[in-house]
Amino acid sequence: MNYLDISIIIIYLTFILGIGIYTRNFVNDFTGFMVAGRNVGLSLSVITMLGTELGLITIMYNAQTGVIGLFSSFHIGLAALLVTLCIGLSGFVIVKLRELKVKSIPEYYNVRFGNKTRILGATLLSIGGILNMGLFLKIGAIFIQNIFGFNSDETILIVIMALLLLLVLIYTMLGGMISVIITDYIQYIILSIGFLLSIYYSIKTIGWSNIFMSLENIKSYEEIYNPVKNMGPSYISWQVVLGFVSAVIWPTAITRALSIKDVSMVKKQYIWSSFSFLIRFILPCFLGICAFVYFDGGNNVSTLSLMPKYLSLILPSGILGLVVAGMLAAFMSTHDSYLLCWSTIITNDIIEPLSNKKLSSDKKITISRIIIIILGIYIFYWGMYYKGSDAIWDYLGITGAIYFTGAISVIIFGLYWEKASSTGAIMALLGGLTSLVGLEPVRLFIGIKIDNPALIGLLALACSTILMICGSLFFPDNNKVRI
Amino acid sequence: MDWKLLWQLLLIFTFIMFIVMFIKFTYSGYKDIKNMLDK
Repeated sequence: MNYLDISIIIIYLTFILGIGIYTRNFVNDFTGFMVAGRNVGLSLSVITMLGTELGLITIMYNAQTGVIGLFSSFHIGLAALLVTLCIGLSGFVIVKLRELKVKSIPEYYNVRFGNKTRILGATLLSIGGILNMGLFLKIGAIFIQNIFGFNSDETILIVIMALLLLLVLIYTMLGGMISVIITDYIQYIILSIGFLLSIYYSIKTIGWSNIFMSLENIKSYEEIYNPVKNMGPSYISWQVVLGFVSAVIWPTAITRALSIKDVSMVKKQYIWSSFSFLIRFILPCFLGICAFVYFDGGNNVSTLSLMPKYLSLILPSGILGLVVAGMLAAFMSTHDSYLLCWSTIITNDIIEPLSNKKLSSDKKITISRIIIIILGIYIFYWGMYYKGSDAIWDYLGITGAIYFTGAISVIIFGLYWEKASSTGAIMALLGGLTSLVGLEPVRLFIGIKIDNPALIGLLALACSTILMICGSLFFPDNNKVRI
Repeated sequence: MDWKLLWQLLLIFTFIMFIVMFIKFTYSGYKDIKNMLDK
């Protein structure tokens, strides 16, 4: 990386911070801070969904998935496409949620099941979500460390993490959802150009047919292409669940549906976003596969470092700067969306209901900003101390499962089953906690020897569903809420 | 089922959709931002 690349990165980051300061003037109240005043058009909504979901972290873990599973891991992208497309065509869950005009999933719990479910749901959501983003900073720092060709020293990694954190915190606290949306838009353009160039140079360097031929020289056909034999049916089923969760249950995605201008746009948004979900998986995965081929199977290089090392070698000067600027923008975009999402949920759905009084908009924004700083400190420390060896995608799946295995049944049954009760909802949400067992350090602590954490996630999902049904049948609510 | 062919077709489809979406949404997204900030 030379001076031209570094100049491009510095100019770009300065520009994006300027945008953050400028958009601060457009945040008038908490709704503006949280869901951009519910004033987002279709195109912008699709872009921001892609902008948020196609972050540096996504690119890194999907590239890692490509390195590990090769083309057979493409089934994850296909599952995400089909599931999101079905949701977009049918309007399942999303239309009903948007019609309720709630700002978040816990607010829906409140409307449907009451305050206790809201607070519990928001707490579990925050635990799962915060654990989920715990490794983001470290992954971003690994990318920077490798693409700049820095020494793979732990101290350098920590310094990069601290600098990245500072950048993200300043940006996120300045704006709120409006600046998130504008950064997402700019990031989408820069990252798209960077992506197109990376793919062009990958194919130019390795050669389209050579990618497949080289792989077939290293691994067998089944290992490269067949997901059923390579990963097994339980893993594939888990990916279908994750596809549904990523599109509908995960707060950073559903916030986009709740921010959109009117109900009629929600279905269109999801139809287009189904392609976004495909793109965000397949393209980084492809870059991971190219890196694997380029390094002849990637011996002696960690699966996470392979893709950035590869890009730093194949991209010409200037373009490398543009790609890194795009990736850094993607990093900021994901972080600000996530930090904003969790902090506003903690403020809106835990602190305010527990305080038993209506907090003013200014006070809520201040509390959210304090929480953003606390979360920033947490991801810094978690990144330093967590030593699990699971693939990042599996780590994300299982930490997210703490929240979503319970949330899936609570949301679906709550919307479509009149008999769903608040006791059933609380039992289902608590049932989701069983997925903690899937986390590698917990598995090792308890002594469970299982290679596939997806199986634990599926069992937790089944457990939550049964608890929701039994709890609702045996402990019905006295006052039924119709939605 | 020929898995290799399926993944190759899916990859090419993804490239095409990426370019289509980039062209379509870059322009219309800009108009959305202008409308949102004007309000």
